[in-house]
Formats: sequence, C-alpha cells, structure tokens
Amino acid sequence: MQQLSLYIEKETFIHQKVDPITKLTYFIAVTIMAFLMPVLAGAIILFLLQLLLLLWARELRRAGKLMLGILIVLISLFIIQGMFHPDNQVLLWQLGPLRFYQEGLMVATTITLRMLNMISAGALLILTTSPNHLMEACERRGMSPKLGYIITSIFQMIPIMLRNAAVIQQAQESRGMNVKGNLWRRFQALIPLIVPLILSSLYSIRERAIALEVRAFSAKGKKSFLHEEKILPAMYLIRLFIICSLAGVTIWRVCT
Amino acid sequence: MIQIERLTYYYPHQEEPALKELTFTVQQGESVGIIGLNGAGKSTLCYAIMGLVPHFYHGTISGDLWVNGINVPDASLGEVSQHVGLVFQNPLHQLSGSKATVKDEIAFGLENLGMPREKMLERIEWVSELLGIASLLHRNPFSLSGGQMQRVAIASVLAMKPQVIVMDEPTSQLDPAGTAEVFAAIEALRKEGITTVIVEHKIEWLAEHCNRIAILADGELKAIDLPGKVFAQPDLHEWGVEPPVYTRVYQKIAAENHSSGVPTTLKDTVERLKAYEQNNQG
Amino acid sequence: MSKTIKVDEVWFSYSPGQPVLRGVTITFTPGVTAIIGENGAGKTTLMKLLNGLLTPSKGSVLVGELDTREHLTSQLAKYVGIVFQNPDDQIFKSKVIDEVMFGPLNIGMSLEEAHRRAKAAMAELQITGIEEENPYDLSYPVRKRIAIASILAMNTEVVIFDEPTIGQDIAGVRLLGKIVTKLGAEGKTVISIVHDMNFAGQFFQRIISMAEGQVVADGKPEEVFRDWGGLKRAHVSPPSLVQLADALELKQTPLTEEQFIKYYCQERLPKRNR
Repeated sequence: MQQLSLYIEKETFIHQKVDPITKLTYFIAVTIMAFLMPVLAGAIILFLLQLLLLLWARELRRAGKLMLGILIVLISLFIIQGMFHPDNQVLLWQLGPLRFYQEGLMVATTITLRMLNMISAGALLILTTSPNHLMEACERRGMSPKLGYIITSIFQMIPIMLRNAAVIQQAQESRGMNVKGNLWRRFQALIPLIVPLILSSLYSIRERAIALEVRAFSAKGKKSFLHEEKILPAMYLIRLFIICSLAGVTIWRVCT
Repeated sequence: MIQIERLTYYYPHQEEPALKELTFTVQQGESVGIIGLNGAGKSTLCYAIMGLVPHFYHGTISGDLWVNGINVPDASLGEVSQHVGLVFQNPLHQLSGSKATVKDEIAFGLENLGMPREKMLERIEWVSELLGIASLLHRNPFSLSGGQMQRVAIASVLAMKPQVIVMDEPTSQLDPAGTAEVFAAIEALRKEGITTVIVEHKIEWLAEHCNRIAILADGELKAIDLPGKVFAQPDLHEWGVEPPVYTRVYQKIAAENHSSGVPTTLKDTVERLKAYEQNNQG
Repeated sequence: MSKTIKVDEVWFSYSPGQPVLRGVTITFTPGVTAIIGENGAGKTTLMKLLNGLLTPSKGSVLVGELDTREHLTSQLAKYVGIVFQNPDDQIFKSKVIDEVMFGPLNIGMSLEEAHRRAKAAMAELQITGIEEENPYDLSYPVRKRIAIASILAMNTEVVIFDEPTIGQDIAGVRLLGKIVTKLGAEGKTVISIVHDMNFAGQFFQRIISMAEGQVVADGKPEEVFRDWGGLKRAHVSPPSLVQLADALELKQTPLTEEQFIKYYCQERLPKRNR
C-alpha cells in the first residue's frame, strides 16, 4: 500500500541533493515575490525560470497537470475580468456582443501569473520531496514532533480509509443495500457507508493512540533522529541567493 | 519481575470491578499465559501492567502493581513504557502510520526517547536478527502480511528493551502461518530473558510455550500453575476454560489420578499414551 | 435450486496478468463446507465471487439459475448472505434490533416478518435482551454476534462465513459450531472460510483446500486431512486430533474427541471393554 503523496523518487539534483528546507525557502520566497513583482515582465520571467527548474527536475509534465487543474478558474477569471472590470475603458477584442477590455485582461493576467508562479513553486517542493523528509527537517528545527506526526500520518491513513470504505460498501451491498441507481438512492446509501467508516476510524485512532503511548510518544525530552541530515554547503549559497532575490524584488516594489 | 498484590480496578462509571483482588508474581524471564472467557478481565490486566489503566482509561485502582521496582499506577506512562511493552490484536493499529519503511518504524520509539543514532542502529540490528525481519527493513510496513506486521510490532516494542512484554491476543487475527511466526518470536524473547505475559485463546500454543498458565474468571485469578497442573484441575469448566484437546482425550482414556499433572502438548501426550499402553498390556 | 452455487472454470485477476483464481470449478450444495488454505490462496476472492461482489474474468458463477454477471449483489443478497470478518465494517444503526432488521428489510421482508426473524436470530446467538442498546456500547465479541444475527435473520438459502471463530472464546466457538450444524440440518448451503482446523474438522462435512488460486483437495475431512501431499501444498496442518492420530500411527481418522477415544481404544487397547 502506497503512501498518499505526490512524491516519486527520481535521480535528479533537485530530488536527491537539494534539502527540504532549501526547497521550502524557495517556495515561500517565490510566492512572496510573485505577489510583490511590480512589472508583468518580471512575473513572466520568474515563471519561465521556474519551468526551467521543473524541467531540470524532470517534473514538468506532472507540474503541468497540477496547473491544468486550475485551468477552468483561469479561464473564468479572464472572461469575468476582461468583460466586467470597473476600470475597463480600452476595447481590445469583440466577439459578437461580448466585449473584452485591456484593463480587465491585464488584471486577469497579473492574477494568473501569480497563481501559476505559486503553483509551480509548490509543485517543485511537493513533487520532489517526501513528506517524511520534509517533516523531519522541520522537526529538527523546532516544529513540534506531534504536529509532524499528524501531518505524515495523514498520508498513510487516507489510502487505508479509502480501502476500508470499499470493504464497508461490499458488506452493506451484501445485505441488500443498493448503491447504484438514482441520486436519491445513492444519497440514502451514504449513511450505512459513512457511519461505520467514521466509527471504525475512531476506534482505530484510539488503538493507535495506545500504541503510540507504548512507544514513548509522550516522553519528555528532546527527540533524536535515525537519519543523519546531510546538507551540501552549496545549499546555503542557494538559500542566500533566494533571500537576496526576495530582498531585491521587495526593494524594487517599494521604490516604484 | 511483576508483583501484583490485591489489585482491584473499576472502569469509570462501573459498579462491578473488572479486576478483583488479583495477587500473583511473575519471575523475571518467565512466560505466563492467561486464559479465560471474553470479559473475564484479561485485557484489563494487560492494560494494568502497562499502566494504561488507570492513566489512559481512568477509573479507580487499588492494590499494588510493581514492575522491576516501579509502582506502575503511580508512575507516568512515559516512564512505564521504558520497562513494559504492549502488543495487541490488530497489527495495522500498532504501526505508527507515519513511517515509510520498517527500519524507520522500529526506530520510532527510540527517536521519541532521544536515543543516540549509533545506539539506535545497534538496537535495530539486534531486534531484526532476533525476530527474523532483517529482509523486511526496507519494505513499507503497510505492505506486509499479518504475521510479518505483528513481528514488526513486536520488534518495535522490543527495540525499547523493556524487561516485560505483554501481549493481548497477538495471533487472533492471523492465519496459522502468522500464528507460528508470532510464537517463534515469543520463543526468541524467552531466550533473551524477557518476561512475557500472553493472553490467548489458542490454549494448545500456550501450553507449548508458557512456563505457567493463569486462569481469569469474572475478574478473579482462579489458578496459576504449570500447564500440566492447571489443566488437571476439575473446576475448569466452571471458569469457562477447557484444557487442550490432547489433555482432554488423555484424561478420558487414562482415567487415573491426575493430580501429579497431565500432558498438555502433542509430544507429551504421545509419550504418556505410549507409556500407558505399556502399563496396560505388559 | 437457489441453494446450489456453480462455480465453473473461474479465473479472476485484480490487476491484469496476475490471476488470483486460476480455473476454479466447485459446485456448492446443501450441507456444511469449509474452505481452508493459507492467506493469499484466493479464499476471500472466491467468497466475493459467490454473491456477485466480484465477477469472474473468465468462467461463470451461477447462484441457482442466476448468473452473477447479470445481477446486482443487492439482488443476489436474497439468496446469498455473507458474514464478513469485522462487524465494525457494517454496524451503523443506533439500536441493535434496527441493525439486525436492516438486511431483512432490504431484501423485501415485511416489517412484521423482519422483526420476528431478527428476534429469532438474536435468540440463536444468545444475545437476547439487548434490542434497544447501541451496538457500540457493547463489547467487540457481542458486536460480532450482532453481525452474524443480522445475516441469519435474512434467512438466505446460502450462508457464507468469513473466519467466524476469530477472537471467539471457547463458548463462542462452541456456539458457532452449533449454529453451523443447525443451518446445515435445515438444508441450507453453508460455506465457511476457516483457519481453525479443529473447528473445521469437527463441524464440517466437506473440506475444500486451496493454494495459489486453485483447488488442491475437495472431499470429506477424513480424506482431506490425511492427504499429506495436499495439506503440504495448501500449507495447512491437520486438526490437533488428526496430528495426534498420525503421531500414534492410528489407521482411522478421528475428527472428534469421542472418535479419537473410540479408535484409539480399538486399535491400541483391544483388551479393554469400552
């Protein structure tokens, strides 16, 4: 049974050599930069740079799929802003009764680039980093291990709950409950599915809580780590570069 | 070593005690099997040795329970978990759920204790050799069979080097192959001198692997003795317990005085029957 | 006719290229049949094919005259009842009586008949008096009995159990044996996946052992449990009494204590009157 995460191990520099904290720094910095960027050209260049990085990490296709996921949102953004933005004056394009204005389209473009930049940075982080690795890196730097546990256990638990839901459905079908058919019938079939799922999940959570206590989850004192953290010296340079870029963009924004 | 004296426990809001004046001692390195009907208090006793009762389940406890000098009801769960380990029925519920490999899973408890890396690696090697799971270290724990998962659960608990390991129906959900794996693990624990307390319904297995058998009924300890003596008692039926089938047929065939003890395993029964044949044909 | 299930040359794979069942042919008839074999042999998969939860990749499964590929499981539930391993995978009503009546009502029984059958099933499982209780306030072994009662109340011609003795104490196992025997005596087709070989040997008339998706042995317990080659292939050991008989080199195959004592005295203690 796999963990539910988008991470796939690959033999690239970004997967193997770049540590999670550097990638996390990158994600946060790029997101802020995307919002602060004073000119459109800057946002476009940032986006293109990100695509290059994703290409280098061999994750361009999967990241593309994530971006495709918000395609509908983007299209409706263009339509609504292009037609109805309050500052609309200059007509750029007309399709029958539908009028698209320059000001609105510019706003839509700006928002789109911000979202695309944010998603690309997020994709680079999530597709190339295992959740366990990331949580461990945060815990080393002071995040509560309990919080780290909660986050990583969600990745394991969801596939298990899904599998459990399938078993529950089979048990109820075997008792004559019809799960196919019209919408009302499917709705009626929800309670016999959801109640056992929730109750058995609660039950297993309680048992697991006991198991955790047995393994000293509540023990006081500092936690240690089985894996050694190896950060290449180059990573510190990269982080410095990212922060300087962020500072640069911030200053640029403040000055214009 | 476990010392229990007049242990009495009430679950919250219950009028009847789940455990009544239990008194017995388990020597270090001993393996004790606990049998009895469902509801007799077997699981509650396991929780008490682990300190979950009263800390996790609350309720009222009186009497004494000492594990290697620690007064369990008074100590914190964190402290007790360094001396007592618990393994229970469902292998899935015992995996932490946050680790992607068996090796990391075993290290989970050790990390929580703040153990240095070198020592962790030693411990992991030791338990995986002992329990035969060295080949599983890089597997995802959730992809294992039931028997393998239980062995990993035992390993994860054993890695913390408790002096006592309590098991509450560890083979209940396993097939015969998995059951055999778990009892092989129990034998390995015995060789290491770890005290084991095992609740099971599979009396034939317990008779084979335990030094003594204890019978619980209605929260009371009815008997605790060598298998051969315990299963010779006449009151077993009243307590909702039966001797292993080997014992039952032997008792009916060789209707003699059994106070010196009855055979409880396949091997013993074969020997005793052959001896009986000799005596009756010579 | 609906009491017979014909499994005809069935192949099944969850993922292409990895068949879990490889050409299984069995006809289940009224009586009590146990299916044994190690985990992974295909027993649970076979069970799910018997009521249409799964349909064969090749071959067919006929419940009476109904082909499982042409009927929904909820329709076949009238004829085939399955008691799954974990009661918590099905219990959702807040009153025991409602839970036990759920199945009967779904398959078209009147309120009056469903209630009557539910009470009768609970009496059989020795859990009377808890009709108004919330199942989750009760212990796990009791919930297991509630789950079994909820299937018995459906009064199906075929009743299938998935490892019913797990977690049961001696009283529970004995009760299950009694129920299984009674259902068989009523002319129903009872099928059970069994891991407890003592239970299998004692209460079942027919043993089917499976290994790697195929049927390895199919016959009376006396035959199957003495077929050492077959047992080895299925990775199962015979019941304790048969093991004892083997060790003592008895010729006959005892499945119950009475039989063992009888055979042993006949073969080893001929001088004694017993």
